[in-house]
Amino acid sequence: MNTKSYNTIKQVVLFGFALFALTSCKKYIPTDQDSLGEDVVYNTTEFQPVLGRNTFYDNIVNIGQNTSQPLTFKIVNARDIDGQPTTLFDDKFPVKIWKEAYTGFEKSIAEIEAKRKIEYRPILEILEKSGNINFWGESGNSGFIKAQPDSGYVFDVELTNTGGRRYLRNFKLKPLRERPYEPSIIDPITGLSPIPYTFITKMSSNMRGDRTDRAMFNSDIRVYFNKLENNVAGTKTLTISFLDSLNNPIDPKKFSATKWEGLVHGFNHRFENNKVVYDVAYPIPLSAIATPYTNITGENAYIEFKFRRKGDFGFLEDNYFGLEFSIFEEGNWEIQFRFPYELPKFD
Amino acid sequence: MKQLCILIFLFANVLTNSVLAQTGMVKGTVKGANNRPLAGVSIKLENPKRDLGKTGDDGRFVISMPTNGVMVFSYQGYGTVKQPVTAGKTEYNILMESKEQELEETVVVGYQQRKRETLTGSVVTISGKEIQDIPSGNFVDLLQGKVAGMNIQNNTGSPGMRGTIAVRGISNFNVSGSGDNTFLTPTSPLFVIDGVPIDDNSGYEYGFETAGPGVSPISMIPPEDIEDITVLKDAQATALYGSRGAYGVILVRTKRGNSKIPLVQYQGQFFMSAVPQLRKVIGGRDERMVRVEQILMNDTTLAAAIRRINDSPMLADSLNPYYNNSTDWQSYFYRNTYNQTHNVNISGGERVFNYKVNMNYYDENGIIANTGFKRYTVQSNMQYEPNDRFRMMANVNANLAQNQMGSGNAAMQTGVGKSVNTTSLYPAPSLFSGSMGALSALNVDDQNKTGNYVAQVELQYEPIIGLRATSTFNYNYTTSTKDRYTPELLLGNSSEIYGYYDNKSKVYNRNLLSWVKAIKEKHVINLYGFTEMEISQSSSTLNKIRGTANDQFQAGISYNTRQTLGGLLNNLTNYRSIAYAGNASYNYDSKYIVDLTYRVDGTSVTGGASPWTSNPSVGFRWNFKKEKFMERFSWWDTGFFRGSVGRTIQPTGTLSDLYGWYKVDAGRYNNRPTTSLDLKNAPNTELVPQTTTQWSLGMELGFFNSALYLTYETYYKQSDKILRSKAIANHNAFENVLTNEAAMVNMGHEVSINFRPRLRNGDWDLSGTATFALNRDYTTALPDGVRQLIQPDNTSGYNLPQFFRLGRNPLTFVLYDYKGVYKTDDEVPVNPLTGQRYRAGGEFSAGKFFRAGDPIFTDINGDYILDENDLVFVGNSQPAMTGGLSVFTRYKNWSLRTQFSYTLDRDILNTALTDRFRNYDTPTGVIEGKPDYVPGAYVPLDAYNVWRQLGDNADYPNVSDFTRLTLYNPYRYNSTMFLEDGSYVKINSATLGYNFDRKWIQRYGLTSARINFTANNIYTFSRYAGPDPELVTSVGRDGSNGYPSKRTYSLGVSVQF
Repeated sequence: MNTKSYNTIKQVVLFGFALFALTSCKKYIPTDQDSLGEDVVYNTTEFQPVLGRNTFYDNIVNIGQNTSQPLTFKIVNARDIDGQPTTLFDDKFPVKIWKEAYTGFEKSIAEIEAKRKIEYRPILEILEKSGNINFWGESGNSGFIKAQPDSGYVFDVELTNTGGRRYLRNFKLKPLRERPYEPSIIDPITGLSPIPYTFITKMSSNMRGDRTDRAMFNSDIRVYFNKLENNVAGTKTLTISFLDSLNNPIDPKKFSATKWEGLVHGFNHRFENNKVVYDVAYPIPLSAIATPYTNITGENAYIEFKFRRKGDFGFLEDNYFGLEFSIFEEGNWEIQFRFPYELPKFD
Repeated sequence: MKQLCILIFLFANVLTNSVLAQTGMVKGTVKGANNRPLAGVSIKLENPKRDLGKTGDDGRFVISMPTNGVMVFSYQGYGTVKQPVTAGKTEYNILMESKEQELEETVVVGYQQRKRETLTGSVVTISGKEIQDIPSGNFVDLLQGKVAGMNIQNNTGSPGMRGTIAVRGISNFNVSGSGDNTFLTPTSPLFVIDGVPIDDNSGYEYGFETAGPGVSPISMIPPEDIEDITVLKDAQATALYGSRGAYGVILVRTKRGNSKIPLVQYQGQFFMSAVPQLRKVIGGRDERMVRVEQILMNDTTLAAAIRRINDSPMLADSLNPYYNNSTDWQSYFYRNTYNQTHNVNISGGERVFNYKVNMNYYDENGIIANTGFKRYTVQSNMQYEPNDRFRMMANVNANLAQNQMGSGNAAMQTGVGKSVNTTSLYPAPSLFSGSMGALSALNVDDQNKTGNYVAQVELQYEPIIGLRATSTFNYNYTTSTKDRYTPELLLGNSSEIYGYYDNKSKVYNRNLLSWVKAIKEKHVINLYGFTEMEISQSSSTLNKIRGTANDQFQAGISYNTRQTLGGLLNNLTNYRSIAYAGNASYNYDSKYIVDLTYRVDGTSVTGGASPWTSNPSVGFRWNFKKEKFMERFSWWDTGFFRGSVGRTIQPTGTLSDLYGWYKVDAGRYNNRPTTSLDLKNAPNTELVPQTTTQWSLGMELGFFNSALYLTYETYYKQSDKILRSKAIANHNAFENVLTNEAAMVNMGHEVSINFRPRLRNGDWDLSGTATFALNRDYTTALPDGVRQLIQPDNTSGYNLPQFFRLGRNPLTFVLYDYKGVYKTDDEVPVNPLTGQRYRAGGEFSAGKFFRAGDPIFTDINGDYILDENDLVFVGNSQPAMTGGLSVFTRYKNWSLRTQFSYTLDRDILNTALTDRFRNYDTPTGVIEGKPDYVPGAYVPLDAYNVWRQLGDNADYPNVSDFTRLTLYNPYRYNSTMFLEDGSYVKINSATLGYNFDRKWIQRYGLTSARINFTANNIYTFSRYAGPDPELVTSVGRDGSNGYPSKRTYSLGVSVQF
């Protein structure tokens, strides 16, 4: 009898425990895991980067309110336009990346190069957490990458978080042919240029022609970008020269008010054969931030040539013209400013 | 012949009566445990049932009664004693044995009086005595920490307003407003005052929502008049309250007359409300020098700095009396106040007829100038019960409340908050110095009146023994007005009359039929059913008249009709509900009890095919201590399990949500105003009420003659069909649609321990209650079946969206992850692609690159840009653990009652501190293009480890770099820098009382007298850096504009004639 009553007490205690256990169970509550909604959208699905330079597509992903971050992005199923898988993006190529911040105040080429290092990266890369797409075109060329007018490549993006996995399909990569410098007159599809030159960007309104005393315009100065092949190998220089209508060099010192030391972020500037030569690091500009060597946005380098002249009313006036440009390909480049009609009036 | 028979019968009756009525005087003393005299023991005659009287304070009684009757002594907490009177003996000394207190009490649940022993639901009762010594504009505040699972946060010190209450967690996660003014949809329990339900969720909660005075009818109940408060927590207990019982039910019983000799009781309290600690600010010359130094150290160049200083009259023109000040702004708004409350209670009568009239006057001036709350109330009831079969009860209450809110509203004092945050260099508020915000806070004439009138009649009749019919009829009318006059000087030379009027009325009727049958003593069956009906309506009108002729005309006429508005506000309601409910209860020998309840609710705001929802519930109870095998444990008095499951509903939404609105257009047709459908919310005729399904289990154990009583409960509460607005595609005409797609779950555990040790020394008495509750909230469904939802906050400037994810608590913060301060520039990560440093998002600017002294916010998506993709979801603004401890000690005539409460494991966003740091963004005090800009106060930063120079290992980033602050926004509101632990332990109150010796006061014609000294809101222990971790909004943000909680010291007197 006694034992029986103890059993009953045991039952009471067990009942109590069962009661506690029952409520500790969270079976009917959804697990707190990431959500992967339908609202991850790329605002660009067709990428047309230019070969020969790096293009970084930033801020191209819109993530809506139903999707939890961080997400993991991956490029999958890269293929030709006709569906044949391609292994092009599995290979890695050397590219220069930054270790430290570029400020524009570096004092030597060595200092700049110390901030960079070479890494091997695939040509098409997606940033794992942000979904931004990088096209490392620096070491790619139309020799082995299908450039337009070819329809290029197609790939898919895989999104994952702990809430699941989704695929965004049929992104198109249609690289344009190399244009090693900007402003460029090279046709991005054919890679050919109808004329070999472009024009300056900016000119002060008081520039006059030496011969006619007429006002000069941007189209009166032609700009030629020439890659010098015959120079000493391994050096990286930027040369600036001025030619008159007969292609005779003009002494750059005639642009007497030009700040030669601060013209480009280059060093060791020297006047050789009526040319100005700088040791530089490529690409120019090195980074898209505003420095003393760039335009306001920092997207392009800006060089300006200036001289002073007594104006019509006896005032000393600044006369100048400038060029916004970028050069992506490493090497020894020369920028020639040609005056095909007449020289500016220097004094 | 017939007449004769009747005559004889009557005569015989009179004769027997006169025989019975042979009475004599009987006297004696009633003593309880420890030989202590018991006061107020009720003495009844057994047959016929009749009240004989009560014992006095010394336990003595003198009654007249039939010489052969039986006296029945009963007293709460003690076993009933029957004492036959024997002829010749006139003096009786009665000893009463104390009983298991919790079980013998009866409680009214589901409009039926029931023994506690037979309850299957979760019911907690608090005696009115526990709260009567603390002066309060709202008695709910005083219940903090007293009931396990009822989380009360006194988050406003505004007089007459109450904080937030949630029984077993919040039941709705929708928020309204944005930024600093974000409020959680209130889910306060249903209040049932003397049997009549009053919903405290609509309209009263926050003055700004309705533009009215915001005084709830609950504020009108004087604590002195409360007999007891019963909190019903689980589905079975609340089942019969059906519609609106979903958030829990609080029953309030006011006092009744219960004394043959009329009692007149006066209670008065004089109390001082003290201003809590205010914040330190830098004043006068010191502030100017801090500002000047800040500019010199941080401007781009020295020349720019000097120009900036010289361009700022506040800094440069330091001898100008307008700028040469050291104004302590806080001193103009905060003040200590002296207040009083008086209460007179007249009651008398006995069972056949009793009455009570309670008059209360309460006057509290707020600690913020120009705010206050006054209450004048008369509560009366009477009961007539000529015999066991008929009873009539009537209540008439008339209450008037008057409050002033200055330039703020019931919850927020935005005007004061802004004015206090003004540079000390500006002159003190006066008409000539132009600090209009401050002046309006101090001088606006804001008068609010709320009147509440209640009439109630309840009739009960028992035609056949066991069958009882009850009918209750109640009419409740509330009207409130707000009159505010702003003089023309304060409002751009155009005065404003603001007149608000609203009225709410409710007719309530309940007809109940109950039947009790006991079979062979052991089987008790109780059946009852009732119908319940409610018709309520409310409407409010508002007039805003701009430009009276002069400040003497404070009514009516204006010349500026273009800016004068007026009309009916669109919050008008017209609500009907009807319900049929039934309950069947079976009780076997008080051992096994089963309750079945079924309720059908129809409301006018239920859409769909049928307005009806059915709400069943089941409860059981097993008093295992009554089993044979438990009899051996004599020290164990009580033990039972109980459990219940059931569903209740809460009507949400309004008629207009179902059927849409017509609005008056801005445009005209044929020079007449046109009306069209309001395209904000699409009508949805399928809307249904929110339903709550609750499972709960409980266990109660009592030991050592009730010296220790333990209650454990656990619950799972699921709130489904929560009304929520969702945006619909923009090719629809409408912007949003309301649906019932959201759901959430609360689950938790509650423990409460009552202790009342028997002390050997009768001079001492000790008792107390400790409560503990653990609650977790989870979001379980969101509209459109999504797993996650972010409700953006784009307009308030705070950028604090609401974030919901299935399986997570619904009040998570969405913040940037703060990891400290960059010691040097080199610590800032560099984007290897571009060679650029990590920067703040938005439009590109060189100033946005992070550098030394800037905050380290984690770049979650690794794109070296800090933007909304880097937000993290952290914290929970709802407390996980709440509870309290109340202890009562008595030594002879002295008594001490203390109350503690605690809230643990909650997170608070200290936006007030953010605001202080942000004041450093404009050292010049001048913003171009903003002539109205008022520079903020500078707080001393010594208390905070702020980054000052290169290499500093700081807790807070640089505040001084003002040229860049707006670009990278280091002191953004939405960062974990200001997410703090909001746990606290609070000493709520302590009351020291003294009962005067009865013999001594009798000389002055008093029957009892008591004085007490009470301190309320004594101290809060917390690691929180802000002033008060409790003073945060319901979504856990400590804004700068809240109304601080006062500390009160009161001296109370209570005398009874």
